[in-house]
Amino acid sequence: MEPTTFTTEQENFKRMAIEFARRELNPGAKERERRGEFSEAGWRKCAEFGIPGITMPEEYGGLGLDTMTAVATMEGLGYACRDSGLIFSLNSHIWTCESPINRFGTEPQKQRYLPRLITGEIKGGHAMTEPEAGSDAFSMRCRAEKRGDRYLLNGSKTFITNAPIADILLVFAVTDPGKGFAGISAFIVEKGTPGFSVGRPLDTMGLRTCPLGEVFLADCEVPEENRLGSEGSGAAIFNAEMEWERSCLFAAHLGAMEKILEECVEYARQRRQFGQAIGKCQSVSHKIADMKLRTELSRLMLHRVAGLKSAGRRAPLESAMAKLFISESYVQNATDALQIHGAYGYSTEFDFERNLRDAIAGKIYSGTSEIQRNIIATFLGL
Amino acid sequence: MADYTDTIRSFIEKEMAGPGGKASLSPSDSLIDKGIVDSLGVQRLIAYLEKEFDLQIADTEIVPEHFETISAVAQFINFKLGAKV
Repeated sequence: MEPTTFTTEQENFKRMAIEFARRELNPGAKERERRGEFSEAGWRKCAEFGIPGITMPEEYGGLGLDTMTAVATMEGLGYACRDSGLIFSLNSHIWTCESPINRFGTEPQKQRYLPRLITGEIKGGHAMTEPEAGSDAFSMRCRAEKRGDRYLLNGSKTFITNAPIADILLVFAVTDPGKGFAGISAFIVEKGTPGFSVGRPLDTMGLRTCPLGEVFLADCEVPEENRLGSEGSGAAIFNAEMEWERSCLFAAHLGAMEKILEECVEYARQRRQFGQAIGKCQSVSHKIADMKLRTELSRLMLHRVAGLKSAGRRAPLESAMAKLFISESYVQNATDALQIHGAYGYSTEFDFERNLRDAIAGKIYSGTSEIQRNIIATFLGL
Repeated sequence: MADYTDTIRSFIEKEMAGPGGKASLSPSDSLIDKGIVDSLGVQRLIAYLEKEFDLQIADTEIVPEHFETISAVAQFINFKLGAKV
C-alpha cells in the first residue's frame, strides 16, 4: 500500500477493512453480481464490523471516530471488496440517512432511529430524484401539504438507492411551491406507512448488488415530528448530505484504483509479448504511469477534503472537485486496466470489466460530473 | 451593533446578481424570488460570509429566513458575531 496522510490507527483501520472484506464479503460476490443480488449476510457482517457507526456518536452506539478514519476504512473496502454494490448501499445508508439524522435530527428522532441504523438492524437511504427532476433536483414535484400536525405526501421518486430494502427513507418534498429550492423540506418516512410503496427493483449496468428502485407516495401521511429540520431546510440538508458523501464515499474509488494499479504493474511485469515484458513497452508503461498519477492526485484531493471535514469545516468546492476528479480518474484507470489486460480484461472471468461498469456510476450519482463543474464554476463567480 | 448591510449587498450585487439589471438591490428585496440566490449560490454566499466575518455557519442555520433578503443576511451575521463575543 502507498504511504498516506493517515495516522497509524487510521492505517490499521484500512488494513483491518481489507482483511475483513477478503474474508467476509468476497465469497460468492461474483455470482451475486451476475444475479444482481444484495447480500443481507454481508450487510450484517459490515454492521458487526462497525462500519455504519464509525463517525456516529458513542451515545447512540457509534464509534465516535473522525472523518479520516471513515475514509481510511472506505479505502480499505474499495481496495479489497469485490461487492462494490454492497459498499455503495452502505455508503448511501450512512451519508444520506444516518448522517443527516445525526446532524439535523431532534433528540427524539436520533433516539428513535440512530441506534438501529448504527447496528444495521434497519436500513436507510434518501429519496430525492424524480422522473422529471434529476440534475435539476430542486425542480421536484413531490408535494408535502400540511394538514394539522401531519403532512400529506404525494409524488413519485426514482433511482432511489436502497429503496427495495430500506426501512426508512429521507424523502424530500415541496412544502412551499413559490420558494423554489427554499421551499423544500425533508421527511423521515418509515416503510409500512400507509400510502408509501416501493416499485420494482431497477436493473443497472454496474453496482448490480445495490438495490435501486422507485418510490410512490399517495396521500402518505407523515407526522410533523418526522420532518427533519425546519420547513424549507431541505436544500441545506441535501447539500450537506452530498458534501459528506462526496468527501467520504469516493474513498472506496481511491481504494479500488490502488488495487487496479497494483494488478496492472504486476501484470505488465509478468506478461511477455514480442520477447519482453509488456511493461517494457512505453505504450503500456506510460498508461500505468498516468494511472499512478491519477491515483496519487485523487489521494491528495480526497485527504484534503477529509481533513477539512474532520476539522468541522465546510468544503462544498473542495468536495465537488475531489468527487469530479476521483470519479473520472476511476473510469479512466478502469478503462486503461481493461485495455492493458486485453482479452483477459474484457473477459467476465476477471474483475476489470466489472470495475469499469461500477466506475461509470460514479460519474452520475452524488451529482453528475456536469453538476460538479457547475459548482466549481459558481464558486469562481461564473 | 455594526451594520453589515452594505458589505453584504456589495458582494451580492458584484458577485451574484451579475449583469442584466439585477443590481441595485434594496435590503428587503427577496434574493430567492429574484433568482439571485439559488441552491448553488447560497453555498457560495455562505463561503463568503464565513471568510469575510471569520465565523462558522452550521448546516442547521442554512434556512431560508437567514438568506431571504440582504437585511436578513445582515441580521443573521450580527447574531452570529454577537454569539462569538
